[in-house]
Amino acid sequence: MDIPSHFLLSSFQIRMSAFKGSCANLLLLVQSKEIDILEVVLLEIAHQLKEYLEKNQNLDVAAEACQCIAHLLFLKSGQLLPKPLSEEPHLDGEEIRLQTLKFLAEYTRFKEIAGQLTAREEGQRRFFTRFPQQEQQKEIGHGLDEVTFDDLKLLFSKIIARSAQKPKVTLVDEEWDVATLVTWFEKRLYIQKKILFEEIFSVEKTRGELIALLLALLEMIKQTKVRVVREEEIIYIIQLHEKDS
Amino acid sequence: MKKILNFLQPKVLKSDEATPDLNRELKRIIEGLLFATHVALSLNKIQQIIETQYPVTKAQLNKLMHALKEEYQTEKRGFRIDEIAEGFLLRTIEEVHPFVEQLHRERRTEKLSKAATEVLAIIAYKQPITRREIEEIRGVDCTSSVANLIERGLIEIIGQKEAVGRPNQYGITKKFLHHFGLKTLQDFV
Repeated sequence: MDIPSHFLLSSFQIRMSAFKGSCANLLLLVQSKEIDILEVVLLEIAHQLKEYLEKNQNLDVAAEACQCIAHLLFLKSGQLLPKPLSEEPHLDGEEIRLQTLKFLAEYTRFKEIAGQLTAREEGQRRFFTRFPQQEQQKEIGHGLDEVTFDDLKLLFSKIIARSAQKPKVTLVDEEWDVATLVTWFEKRLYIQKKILFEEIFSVEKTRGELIALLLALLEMIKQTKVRVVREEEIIYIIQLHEKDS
Repeated sequence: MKKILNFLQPKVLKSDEATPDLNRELKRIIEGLLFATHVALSLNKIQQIIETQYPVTKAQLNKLMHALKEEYQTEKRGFRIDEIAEGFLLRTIEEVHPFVEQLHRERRTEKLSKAATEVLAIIAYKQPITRREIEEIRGVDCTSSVANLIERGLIEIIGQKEAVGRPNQYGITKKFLHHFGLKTLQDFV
């Protein structure tokens, strides 16, 4: 039975009095009976992993280590738990080991198959087919009708400039949350299907609020919830019906 | 297309009477069908479509499909016919990949996670299989991987186990074969 070699070369190394090496190595030694799982303190390994992750935030290593620790935990719990009182034939130590080995062999086999699938997936990315329903995608993807992004930028800069000229009265610490503004936009559009751009981006609003509002609008355009249209030089924000989006 | 179909007279469409002209026209129809879709077309489907107007045998279509496939290879075209998901699909050749990729950067789909690929491998080999049975092999919970694979259309519920709670059993879909470029599951297993 083989454990993938990259597993053995993990950068997370366990340090114990009787063992020093990767989690996968420990698993290998446990399954080959060179180390008794009952003598392995899993809590200590978990602490060491926690320490390691505080220094190196490597998710791949963390995932592999967690997987190996989960296996060790499974093996250890299998040995520690009292045997169920069932009619199943009683398994002695050797049989449990054989069963565990069988389990590990099967798991390793699927790991290898998964590796083959990943390689195949990567290989398939080199081939292209036609696009599905190209026209429909094109129609949905547009949030700006007859208004270019540059138009929007210009309009926004003007409003920001006018807003800056406004005499400031008090200073208030404000925090604007894009997600909340998206919800606010949705509610507003539910009542009023078509809103003037300048009504939303009014000069009365502060710079912070205006920026957050623009971000919220762009997010909604991305999600194809709204469309920005120009009608006789006036720019409107209109709601897209659910069936359109 | 009308012109092509007008050319095909039902009485001459028996395979033993097929003429080079007739074969050429049929190949054009097959080519058109393959060009117009992004999913693999089975011979049955192609036969069904052509037969709405003219009788044609599956053996005849199979022979023509392979002839067309060889033609593309001989003529060194930028695309080829691949046998995927028990059907035929027109795809670009590997050599043009660096160029087509630049055209369709946004088309790159997210790769499957390691855990999801493992779950998929188990399902492909052991289907129909319940989530609990997958977890017994992997030793860890796989709820999110299963949900993710269902969302991506790579697996589906194919039945319920005759056991307590009647848990769902999962199996792979045709999209799995598409995703990994397999003709049938036997090609891989």
